[in-house]
Amino acid sequence: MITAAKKQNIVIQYLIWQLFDVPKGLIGAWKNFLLFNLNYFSIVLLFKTLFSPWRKYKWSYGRGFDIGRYLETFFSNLVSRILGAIIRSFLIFIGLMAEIFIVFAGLIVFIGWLIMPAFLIAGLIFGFKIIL
Amino acid sequence: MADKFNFNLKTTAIYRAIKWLKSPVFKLVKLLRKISLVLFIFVFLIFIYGFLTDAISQNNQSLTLGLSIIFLASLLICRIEESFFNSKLKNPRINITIDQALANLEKFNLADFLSFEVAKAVSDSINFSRKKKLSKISSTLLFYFLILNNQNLNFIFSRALLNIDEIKQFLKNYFRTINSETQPMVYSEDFQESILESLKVAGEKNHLRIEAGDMIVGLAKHDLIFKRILIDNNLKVQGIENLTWWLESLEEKTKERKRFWEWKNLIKRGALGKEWAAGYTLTLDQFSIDLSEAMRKKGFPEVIGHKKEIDALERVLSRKETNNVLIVGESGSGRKSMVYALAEKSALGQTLPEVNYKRFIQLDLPTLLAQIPSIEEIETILDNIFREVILSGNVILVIDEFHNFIGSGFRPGVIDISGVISPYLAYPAFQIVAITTFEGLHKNIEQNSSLLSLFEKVEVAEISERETLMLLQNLSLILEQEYKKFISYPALRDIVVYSSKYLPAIPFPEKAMDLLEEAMVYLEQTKNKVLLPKHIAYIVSEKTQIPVGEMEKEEKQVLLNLENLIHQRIINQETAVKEISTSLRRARAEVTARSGPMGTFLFLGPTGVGKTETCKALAEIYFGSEARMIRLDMSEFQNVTDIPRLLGSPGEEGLLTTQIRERPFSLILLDEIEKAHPNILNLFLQVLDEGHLTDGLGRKVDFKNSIIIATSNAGYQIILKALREKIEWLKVKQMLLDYVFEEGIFRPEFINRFDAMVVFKPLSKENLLNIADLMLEKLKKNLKEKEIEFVITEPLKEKMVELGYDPVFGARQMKRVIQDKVENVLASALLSDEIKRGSKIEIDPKDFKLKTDQ
Repeated sequence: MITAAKKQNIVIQYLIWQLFDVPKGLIGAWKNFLLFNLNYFSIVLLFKTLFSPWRKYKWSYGRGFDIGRYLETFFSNLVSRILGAIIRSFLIFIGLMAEIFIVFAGLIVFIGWLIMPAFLIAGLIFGFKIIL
Repeated sequence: MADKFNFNLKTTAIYRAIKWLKSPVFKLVKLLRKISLVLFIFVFLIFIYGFLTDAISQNNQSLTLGLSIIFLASLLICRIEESFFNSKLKNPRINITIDQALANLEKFNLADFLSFEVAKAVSDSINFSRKKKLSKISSTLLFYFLILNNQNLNFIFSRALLNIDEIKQFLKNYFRTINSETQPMVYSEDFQESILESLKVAGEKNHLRIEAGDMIVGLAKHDLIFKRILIDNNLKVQGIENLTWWLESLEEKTKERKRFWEWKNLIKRGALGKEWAAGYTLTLDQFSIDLSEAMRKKGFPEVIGHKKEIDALERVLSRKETNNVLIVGESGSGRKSMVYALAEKSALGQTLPEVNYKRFIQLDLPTLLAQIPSIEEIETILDNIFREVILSGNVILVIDEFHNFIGSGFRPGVIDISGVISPYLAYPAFQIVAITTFEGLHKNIEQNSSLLSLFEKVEVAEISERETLMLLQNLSLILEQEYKKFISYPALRDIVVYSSKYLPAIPFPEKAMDLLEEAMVYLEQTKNKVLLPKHIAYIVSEKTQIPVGEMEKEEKQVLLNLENLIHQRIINQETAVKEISTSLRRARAEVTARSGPMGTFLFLGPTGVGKTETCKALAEIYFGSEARMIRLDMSEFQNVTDIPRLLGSPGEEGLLTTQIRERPFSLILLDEIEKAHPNILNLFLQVLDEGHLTDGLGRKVDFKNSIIIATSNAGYQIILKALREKIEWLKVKQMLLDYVFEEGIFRPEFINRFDAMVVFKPLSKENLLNIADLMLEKLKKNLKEKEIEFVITEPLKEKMVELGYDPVFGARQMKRVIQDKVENVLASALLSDEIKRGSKIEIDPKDFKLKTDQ
């Protein structure tokens, strides 16, 4: 007869849950938040298109060569690209800040969970000490 | 079964969880948590008050602080303990899949695969049996403890209109009647079967273990008492399966929504910067509806069905070339919801990379046409819009009812945009999803083959009945909130059954959804609280003028009494009528599984013997009116070129298909079938066999609710000869068959597809006497309405037969004679005021002069 679900001591089960199962879930959630933030601010895409014209506003140089028109178009396109880069950099900056925040927040939650049992026991001892 | 059934709960990991739940550590944890929370809030507030006001002494402040910390720690410990129990102890890891276990049942302890709830019910059943000293642990016990401890199963019972409290009470009383025995305790046969069944159900759903829903389905199939309850309430196991699906999908959705940290939930918030890489679409935004945004606002609802078609849509859109899609399907078959589904998948980043995060924008051409009067201006705006679509780089344009805007000229609400759009369609950066119907495709779009070649067609089939039911279940929750009513499962089930049977011209899911919404409005009017099957039957009857619901009872009566009913109109032909009646009874009782029409008959016999009259009688008796007969003179279909007239073509309705789509409950009379072209007869092979046909516009036409009768007088000479030579009637049928095969009139496979080949006898003089009576009686009835009494004399009848008797033309001649000799005389007399109201008249058979009593 094959046992499909192994029986385990409850203490071992608790330790596995506390030190392995939940931390694994926390790391998964942490990863989700980090990736979500990158996607929400579209940081990779904005980096890739950093110097692209703003909202694809582009002027054609037209046929023939006219230095005046050429320069005018060139500057218009340049402005469009610079404007795009400024606005995108702004969003990239906010995105990166949020990313850093998530890194730290995740770290706090992760470590917090691991030391929680010790923390709670210490809390109880501390509480009783104050009373007594 | 007993050798294969290894089941020992006590050795399983899940049994330990049950035991742990009984220990005070886990039993009292919920209570302790609640107490800790209340005390923490209370003590902490005192501490804050003391801290802020100095109204409490230093010592007491320390006391309140210490207690606050203790209660907070206790609260958190309880919370962690509960989480540990629910997520770890209740779900011990199973290393084997259910499918593996099913393949080698004897190797596994099946109790290992029970979920906590089911294991608890089994454990309670064992304990109860032990306490009551029962020799068998039955499935009924398991059923009782399962519904006793699982509140969520109430959903299934209340939707099925079953009173769970009554069932519990009934079971409780039932257990009191069972006597204790001294034999050792074993699992009963039905218990074993129920567990095995639920294991299969869980395996099919890819569950890790047998959940309460799987168990309830297993019990519905094998527990005798539960089965009886279902039968008494007009429910089937399938109903319980569907309700379990509904419950599980709701639970799954709630669970998913709570897990806010999952990628699927996070991604629903969209992306801020994605749009910044795309161009503006100012003009397009003015004349469009953003489908992606609409889906986001609705919270990305689940879209059911059309998975294959959506995948095809995705594949075409991610191509490098010819990446425009033409969705072809009947209106109401869910074409638009496919686009919604794709827009949703794209917004959630679940499609192919080329389609991900695109905006699906529906071009609102009617608004554009309403706002701008001049055609030149419209074309300029459209050109601008299409340019914007290319420039933006993230738009997939959707055009609904595309056929209205191709090749149809310019009139209010309609424009031909093919000229403007064609140059753009070839650009890979310009992607459109156009929606049209089969008719629109054939009539308008196919005329412009160069335009059509730039599209890839995706044909949309109707969604299945099961998918429709799922969709209705989702829709129910929204409608229940809106109308503050309760929708029962039997009502939903009947919506699907009736709409499939009585509304074949409209596709699923639209007809079912419309019916549900209409039923809700009706419920609102009648101030009822619960939607029941009778409400659905009423709505369908109103819509179709077919007595739904009660019809089944009436139909049974009609079928049992069919011979007598037909004989009220048909003289002689006992064998024929009997044959029709018996085969119709066989077909309707579904003694054998059948997919074709309700009944199919071939009537053979000379003219004027009552073939058509029998059809009329059948239509009246079975479908309620002679008008329910669709009569096709097959001599009109002697060439292959006549097929479009029969099946329809773009711009032309089919004589057969359109009528049957509109009135599926009809008798189809194919008169003089032998005159039709052989290829047309071949078309009927499929109808007779499968019960459906595809019409000239590609729509499926269903014949399952019709009776098809073909008549022919081929070989009537043989019948006449046989009658003269007094050949036995059984042999005549064979002779007739030999004749039609020899002459190549019908092929054997054609004849074989009919339920029965019915041979009508020529009429004898005695029969004609009866027919004369029947016809004259009809005349008498008509005259009675004018308050004129018409006396039918025996000599008149005999005279009619004498003049009308003709073995070749049968009774048809008689009709002419009565017209000639009686009706004409009466008509002249009526017009010349010879006959007055209240007079008594008769016709002299010698000279056909009118005799009145005045």
